[in-house]
Amino acid sequence: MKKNSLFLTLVIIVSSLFIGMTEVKAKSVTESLKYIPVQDRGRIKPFDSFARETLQLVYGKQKYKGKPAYDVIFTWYLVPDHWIKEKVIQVNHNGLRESLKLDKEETYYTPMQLMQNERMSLFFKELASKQNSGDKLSGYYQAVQRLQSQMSIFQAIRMGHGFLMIPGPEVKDRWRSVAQYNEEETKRYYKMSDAYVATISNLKTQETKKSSDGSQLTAAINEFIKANETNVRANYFDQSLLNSEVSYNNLQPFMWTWILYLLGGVLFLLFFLFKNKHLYSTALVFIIGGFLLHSYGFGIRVYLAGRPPVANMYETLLWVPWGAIFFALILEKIRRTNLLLFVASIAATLCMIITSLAPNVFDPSLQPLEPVLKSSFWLTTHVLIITISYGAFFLAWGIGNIMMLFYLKGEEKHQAFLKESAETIYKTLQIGIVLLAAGIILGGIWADYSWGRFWGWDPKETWALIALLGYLALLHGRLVGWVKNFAMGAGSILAFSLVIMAWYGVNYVLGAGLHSYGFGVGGVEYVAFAIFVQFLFVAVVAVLRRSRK
Amino acid sequence: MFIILGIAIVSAVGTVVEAQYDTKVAQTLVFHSPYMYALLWLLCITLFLVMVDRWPWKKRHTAFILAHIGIITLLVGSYITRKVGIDGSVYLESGKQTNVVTLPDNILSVYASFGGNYTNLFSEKIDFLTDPPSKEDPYKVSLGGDELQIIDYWHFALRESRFVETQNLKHPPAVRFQIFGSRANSTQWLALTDKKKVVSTSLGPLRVVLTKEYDQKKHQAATPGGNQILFTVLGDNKIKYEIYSAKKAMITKRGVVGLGDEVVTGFMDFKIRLLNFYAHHEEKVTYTDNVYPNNYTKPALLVNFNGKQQWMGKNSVLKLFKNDRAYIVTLGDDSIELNFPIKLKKFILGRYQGTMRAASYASDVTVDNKLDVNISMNEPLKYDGYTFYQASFQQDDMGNPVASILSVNKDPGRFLKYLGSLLIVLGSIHLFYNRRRKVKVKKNNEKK
Repeated sequence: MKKNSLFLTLVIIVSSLFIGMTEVKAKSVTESLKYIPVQDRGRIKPFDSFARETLQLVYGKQKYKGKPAYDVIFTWYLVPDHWIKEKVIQVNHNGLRESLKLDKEETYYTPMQLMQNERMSLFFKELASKQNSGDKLSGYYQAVQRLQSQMSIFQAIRMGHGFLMIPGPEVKDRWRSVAQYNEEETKRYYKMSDAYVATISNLKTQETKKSSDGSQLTAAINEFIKANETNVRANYFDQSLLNSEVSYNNLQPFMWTWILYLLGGVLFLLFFLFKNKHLYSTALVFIIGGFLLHSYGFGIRVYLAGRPPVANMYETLLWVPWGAIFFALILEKIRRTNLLLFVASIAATLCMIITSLAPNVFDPSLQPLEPVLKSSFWLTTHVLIITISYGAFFLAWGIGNIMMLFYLKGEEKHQAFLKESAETIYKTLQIGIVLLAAGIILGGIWADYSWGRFWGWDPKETWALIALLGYLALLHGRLVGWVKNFAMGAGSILAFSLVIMAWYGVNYVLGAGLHSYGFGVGGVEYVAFAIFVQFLFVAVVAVLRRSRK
Repeated sequence: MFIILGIAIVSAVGTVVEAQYDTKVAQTLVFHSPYMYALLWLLCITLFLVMVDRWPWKKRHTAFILAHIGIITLLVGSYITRKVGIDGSVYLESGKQTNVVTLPDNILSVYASFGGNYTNLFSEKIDFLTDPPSKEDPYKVSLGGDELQIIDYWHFALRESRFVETQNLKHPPAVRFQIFGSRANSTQWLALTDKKKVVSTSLGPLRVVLTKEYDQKKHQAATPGGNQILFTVLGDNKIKYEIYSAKKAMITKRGVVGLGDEVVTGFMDFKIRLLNFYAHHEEKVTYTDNVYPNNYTKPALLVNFNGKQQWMGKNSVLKLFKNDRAYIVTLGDDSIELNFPIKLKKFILGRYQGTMRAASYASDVTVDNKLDVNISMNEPLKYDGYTFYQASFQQDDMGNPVASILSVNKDPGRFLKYLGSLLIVLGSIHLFYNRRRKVKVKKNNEKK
């Protein structure tokens, strides 16, 4: 009875907290939750990362009504009866909402509502049979798949199977979750949650400052971790890795990077307009600052994952702009065209905004590698080289677009500039082509070494080759004089769609072949639309140009 | 330039085919199609002509020559690999040895018997994917006096077998039942065969067994080891059931069950219901064209023999009879035998902590009865001109590995391919270097 009533008060306190939650302070006092090590998807991570990734999957954001992920996820187990009635499950797919007979005006639904939906389990069964037979999943079933993982992780946490917080005696063992703890361990876990409740309820009632500073919670967490170290396995996690991951999460280096790049780009634009030298140097400072932060973010990511950051789409989307800025900085040093850095900063901003806008499409979480990607110097090199060549093509694309704008403004006035730009594109494409060719060949050598075939017409390698052929055609055409300045600019824009296909399309549209470790879903319609707009733009410029003549 | 674009377009089509169907189809129909070969030949010839055209070569042509010779060398090397190289796979079961290498080609074989042993009448490589047979243009196999025709081919056929009741009293019985409760709902067939007098299926902690009355005492398998529901067929129209509980170590319930009857099992809230009962059953196999591949599809042929048409899937056997003769037709993988055996001593599977995801895998093998090696991802073994790569593995339902799959190849074109690659890389580096230093020379070139 006593336990029950205690639980009830708990529920009341916590749910009332969440209903009228306004404290900004709570962020800092319960922050020590972030540092609890948990095992999740094959690696040890701080609770902070686990909570962010979970909330991202289930709710589609890393905050719920202003509450940080770690508070939200921790209370899923603490007060499941509250959360079961909160709209935390995001269902994006229109067709799925329709077939589940959900309210079409909404995107978020309560777990309760979905659990009571009889159709849902039926769809899960259909999905399972599709997965068994190995049929390709349509967009609809991909949505069902997401819903299934959303529901299963919510249920797992609610029932106490979600937080794998106590390690096993061996490194390879699966950690145990709350439901599997022994009596002592359970006590220690509840000490943590009691301390958590005490901390936030003190905040709410604004009692003495002393008990609301979160030290009680920190102590309980430390005790919990220490007990694991004495009872199960000493040093069962790497404290410094864990701390860096939390600070990486806090800092969001890539977000600041694109903000800096964007500011740099805008300053460059102002510089072009007002020709003020100070503007130029400030822009340069911003871009170099962004580049340093970018490199730092990469460094820390490599340190956390223990591998080069080129294993999935998200990571290449960060790597390519890094390459673009890098080339632009070097070429700027040599040729001082100003234009390249401007283009690079805009292109980089674009790439990196995409990653922060669509975390469900480009998964930012750190994940262990597939076996085939492990321990190979050549592998890493070929991916790095190929993707960095995309950086060069990206630059050419940017210059091409600027050329198009100048063609719109009037060709005659800007002849010199256009010629210069076409030359720059030619240079950039050369860099790109050499790198891409080298990368493709290195990939072939690596494939030969580890699979026994040099070239297998795998979609990824084939599309890389197609992109290479496209650019080669452009360069050869230029050499024999078929491709003039305008065609050079237009060509570098159109050929970039080949790069997009090789880079994004193979993984997200075709979804076939051996490079399956980078596959994903989503965003196809946006990318297709962007490419369509690009083609339209080039076509319009071409037509206008012809009619003017 | 047009050739480059042509190759690019054909390749693009190929990847779309690959995404829709599978790698093999794309390879056969696009990448190794006559069109592609023609384009590549054209490319080689053009590259050659362009080089001849620049004769006599000057120093500034170095990069251009290197890169273009490199491409030709690379293509020649690839062609040699394609024509004389071997690319197959070895299936190694734990603790067993083999020297058979399975090749990607299909072999159609026919065996004949006149009452005695079967002799091989016909064995030939076939490629129905590029050259599909049809009613109008069948693939003919002549068998002495008889003729067998293949008149249709599906590359992604689905085999479906279902049980039907028959009046032939020699055939064994079959039942279909449903187990259901709040936690599960499953429908399954259990069918005896001529050889198997007891069949069973496991559903979690519960086993369902079917047998026939007269066999029960002879066959120990019907004795329960855990929770069990035993169906015993009594005569042609009656089924008896017995429920055995491992916890109580006794039979908790027994009786006779009819079609549609529900029986409360006593295990959680599970009930069992008898859906079909055929005292004598026959398995009917049908094939359908699935058009696209999935885990269950395989190639199938429509065989026309003696006025009768029957579908036959890959790796299954079709028996044909005419007068006193019996024929066996099979469609299987082509294979070669190595001069030495390989034995899988141990398969080592590393997983990411706390998950079933493979982190690494490797095979400890003994080659030729003398050499002990470890073959792992990215660490192949070279032996007797062959190279063995760790390709994948097979696991049972519990996730334990049962067999290792190695890919094997012999590639005489490898040297040329590497040489070609080297030349291309040298050429493009030189090109780059050259251009950077002699910007003016390049500009002159452009204007030509």
